[in-house]
Amino acid sequence: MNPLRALSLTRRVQLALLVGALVAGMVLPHVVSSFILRLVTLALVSALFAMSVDLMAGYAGLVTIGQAGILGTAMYGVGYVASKTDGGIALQITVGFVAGMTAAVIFGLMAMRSSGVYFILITIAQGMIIWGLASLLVNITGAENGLPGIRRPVNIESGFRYYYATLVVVLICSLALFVVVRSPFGHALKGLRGSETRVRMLGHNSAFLKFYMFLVSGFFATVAGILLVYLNEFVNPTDVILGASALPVLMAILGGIGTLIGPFIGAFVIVFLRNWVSLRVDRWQTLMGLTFILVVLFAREGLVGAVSAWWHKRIDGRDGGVSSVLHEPEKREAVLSESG
Amino acid sequence: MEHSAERVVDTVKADRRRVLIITALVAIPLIAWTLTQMSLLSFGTQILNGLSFGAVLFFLASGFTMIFGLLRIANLAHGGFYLMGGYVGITTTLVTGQFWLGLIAGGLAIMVLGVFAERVLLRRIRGLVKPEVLLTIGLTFVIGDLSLAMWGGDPRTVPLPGYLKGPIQIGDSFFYPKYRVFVLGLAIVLAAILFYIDRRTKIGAIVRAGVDDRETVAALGININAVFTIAFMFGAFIAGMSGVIGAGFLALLPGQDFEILLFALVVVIIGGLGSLEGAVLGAAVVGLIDSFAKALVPELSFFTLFAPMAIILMIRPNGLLGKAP
Amino acid sequence: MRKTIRKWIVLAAVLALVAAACGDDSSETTATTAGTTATTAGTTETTAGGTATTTGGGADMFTELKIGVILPLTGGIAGPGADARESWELYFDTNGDGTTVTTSNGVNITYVMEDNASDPAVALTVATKLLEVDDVDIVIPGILASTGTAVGDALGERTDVLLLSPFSCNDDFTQRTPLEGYARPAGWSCSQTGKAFAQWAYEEQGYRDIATACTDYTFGYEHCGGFADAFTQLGGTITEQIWHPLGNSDFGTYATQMNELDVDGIVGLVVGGSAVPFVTAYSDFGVKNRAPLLAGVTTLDQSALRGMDKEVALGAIGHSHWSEGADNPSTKQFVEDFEAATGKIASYYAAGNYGAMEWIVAAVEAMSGPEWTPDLMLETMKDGLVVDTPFGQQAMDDEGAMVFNVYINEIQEREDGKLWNVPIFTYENVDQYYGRDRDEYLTQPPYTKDFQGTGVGG
Repeated sequence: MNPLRALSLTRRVQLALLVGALVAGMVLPHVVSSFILRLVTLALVSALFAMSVDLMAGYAGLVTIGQAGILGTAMYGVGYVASKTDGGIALQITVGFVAGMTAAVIFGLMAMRSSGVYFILITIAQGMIIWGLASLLVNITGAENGLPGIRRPVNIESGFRYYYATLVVVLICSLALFVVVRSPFGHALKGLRGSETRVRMLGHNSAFLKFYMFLVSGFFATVAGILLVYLNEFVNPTDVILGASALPVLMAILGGIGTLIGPFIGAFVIVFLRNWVSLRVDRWQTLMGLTFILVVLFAREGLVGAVSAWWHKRIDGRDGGVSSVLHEPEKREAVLSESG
Repeated sequence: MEHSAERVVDTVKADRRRVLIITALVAIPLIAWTLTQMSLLSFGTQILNGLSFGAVLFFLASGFTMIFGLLRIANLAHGGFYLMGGYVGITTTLVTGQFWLGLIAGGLAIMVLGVFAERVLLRRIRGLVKPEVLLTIGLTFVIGDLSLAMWGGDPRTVPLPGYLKGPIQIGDSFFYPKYRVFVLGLAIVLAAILFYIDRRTKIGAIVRAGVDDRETVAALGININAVFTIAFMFGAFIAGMSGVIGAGFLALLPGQDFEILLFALVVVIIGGLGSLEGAVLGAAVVGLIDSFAKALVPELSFFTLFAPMAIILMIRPNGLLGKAP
Repeated sequence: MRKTIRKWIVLAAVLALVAAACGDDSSETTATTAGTTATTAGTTETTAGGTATTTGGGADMFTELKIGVILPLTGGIAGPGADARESWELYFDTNGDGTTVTTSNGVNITYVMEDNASDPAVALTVATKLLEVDDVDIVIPGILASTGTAVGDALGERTDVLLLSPFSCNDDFTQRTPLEGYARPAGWSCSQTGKAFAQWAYEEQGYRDIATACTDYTFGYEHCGGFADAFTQLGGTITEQIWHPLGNSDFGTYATQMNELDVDGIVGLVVGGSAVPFVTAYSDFGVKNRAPLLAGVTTLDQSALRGMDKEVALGAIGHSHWSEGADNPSTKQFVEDFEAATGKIASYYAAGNYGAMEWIVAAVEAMSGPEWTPDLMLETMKDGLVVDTPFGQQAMDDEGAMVFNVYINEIQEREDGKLWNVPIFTYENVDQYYGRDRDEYLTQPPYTKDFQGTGVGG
């Protein structure tokens, strides 16, 4: 018997898409130019970063616009060792990791009591503090001029090899996130979205839960930061500006928030809008803004939500979503009372 | 019922008193120390600097906080509104030669844009925070980019009429820019008007009731959607006008939309979202901190805006004058 | 029904916006689109003949050269970016057919221009595109020092590409830690012009006590360090150094502080959007009644003057290697052409790009041989080549830095009422060590906030 027969049409299509994407990912470097390959690498890193934001924004309903603070601290950790000392790759990565996680701990302690719009605002402040430090501490960060002289590990130095390294790390992290959102911890996080009282009734302390959320999410942001700094071989304060923190949120919402595949799609769309379409269209920022507006108006649940809705309406009305994680529409009233 | 309402009022009062006492405890030693660092004249001038910069901030923040207070929309396009309002004001002033016309035109243009944004775009996603974030940021990109296409990237200022240009001279050696004094005065007038509308008029009463409890207002037969639109219009008008005012102060240029948004956010967070008094207090506090920090601890000037905000939020998660959750 | 109508209204509005965006786009960027077409043509030729090598049999000269230009066309410094772009297009329009310039020895020079959105990370991506897809031979890396550093670092190991930087001016790229395959035709070293300015302040004006108020980052340290070091070497005193943050726009606090100083003059350096508020505050707080403003290169540049109030700026003194009112033929010609094409008086960003292109053409015309290499071009540039650029006559030293005129400028009103820089004093042949012995100079550390010259700050 063909075991595929046991699966519904939706599941089979999902499987086919997943396998297709993996195969495409493997053969891609042999097909496209090294410029496109760099963009794909950047999109993969951005996707990981956006997933780390989505864990908070999508699953727990807590939108952070300061995550570049964690990503950037990790980048600066690596960059400082590479640029200002003669430490090797192992030391660079260790320092970058510790720096990123330290930022995550501090962010968590600061924000674990907030929720709703205030959570958004405090995270904006966090990101801006890191930006302030980056622009201020000339001796450590090089301020506006940034930290040059960062080099990739020798064995993955070429763009070709670095792509595969990134692909592997991002896939492993995606898998880990897949496990996390299905764990009891993941379910508790989803509880935060509805109401915090419910979480408390279930026996969780919401402040601690948010703190752990920062640690887990911060871990993935840190990994993304380390990947990004070796991709660019450069770091400066523009990596931690407000816009850098807003982009992953936009990627997640655009693709479909509260799913893991959504941030991937959003990341690819935005990275290519910013770096590829912009080569052809002068007014690419208008185009990007209009994309956001159109998605909100006509595909409220993001691109994944729209495709999923179309699929179930036209093709297969039986089974769960196209996305790997069920998407719950946001509850309007809950949000209203939360932010009030 | 009566009884509990009184108790609520009492707690609010006690709460405000606590804020005042803590503020005083922090401020007095700081002021004393500051006075050992600079002359009395400098101290006075820096206070004036802080308050006049705070006046610009109040313009920015009042529109934002008004929209948030009633509609619960964190309008992240506020900076974009500011930028485009400023550009329209500059062009109008250049064409007509009238600064006041420019001021009104900047406000009106953004009011029209605001009505479009509220009625056509935002109304369809009311109450959904994330789509609102995406939509208003998208709007900022479009506004910012079209402004760049139309007005170019050079820094622009609004041509001021002669009576607002140059310094006021007191004695032989003390000079102070007229425009800063004018902006301070204008902010006081705006605050007075807003407080009057808020406290003494019927529409103010409806808006206040709407902030506290929309369902009841709607049940009373008031068209809450119309109230929303009017509030958004008015908030957008102030945003556009503040762009023209700011253009005489800070110069307009691409990318400033996000910077301005950040200033507005800091002010309303420190003051308390949706609160008019909060916007006044927040603007004054941020303006003064900024002015003195630059003089006393120049190395930390980036920090001085955001560190107090983070500290205040940790102690009072809803801002100085925000309501307890 | 009403709902459907509303939906259509939304759609129509959005489409109108799209149309507006695109329509606008096509009108403004005809040159770029044309440029892209030319590029594709160029690429085909390159694939046929290899990069910058000869295709024709017998000729002993390479025939193609392609330049990649990275500019901030959007984002915070889109203003200077636009000037640079327009001057680039002007060069190709007046000296070629808009897309190609053919040198007297038959080399076809083409270019590809890309936007870096004022962001070094984007600049890095764009640089990859220019190198890998367009296969350019020369890269011009943007305007900001950060973009210059990022791209310079990324290209450091590429021996087949030449990096030419008319704007970002980090001293050490041509001094203590020189970059490979790098030069600054029509550019400058950040500290270079300040040395002549100090001489003028000390000798011509008789100033003895000076304060500085400069932007708190590397460009500010180097630019004002050049002045402070030279001024104290001459015997003057730097009494106070105020540092204001990059991107600052409210200068009330600093103006109040400057009012407390008892000095002969204040060196003021600001960049981009800070220039207008800074100069306005300097005037309106009455600082200019106490001590004259001695402006840094970017403070009173034409790109800032355009937005400045007349009464505020008139009569202010600045210095630069660029002066749009200079009375020399090549400057006059360029300012005239640029204004005819754009309606704007040329800024130093416009002059820099045009000048870089003149350097490239001059070098190519002095070169021979079947193959273009970065080293060969650098050698030609450094080998006594004197180029008549919008800045006046310039030469290049052995380290890739410029030797040029430094103008002491006064802001004056032109007949048509526009403000511009007019030279009141000129220092000729200023090199990057101006008046100092190179080897002795290089034993000093680079200028930082803590080191502004041996005679500064105790």
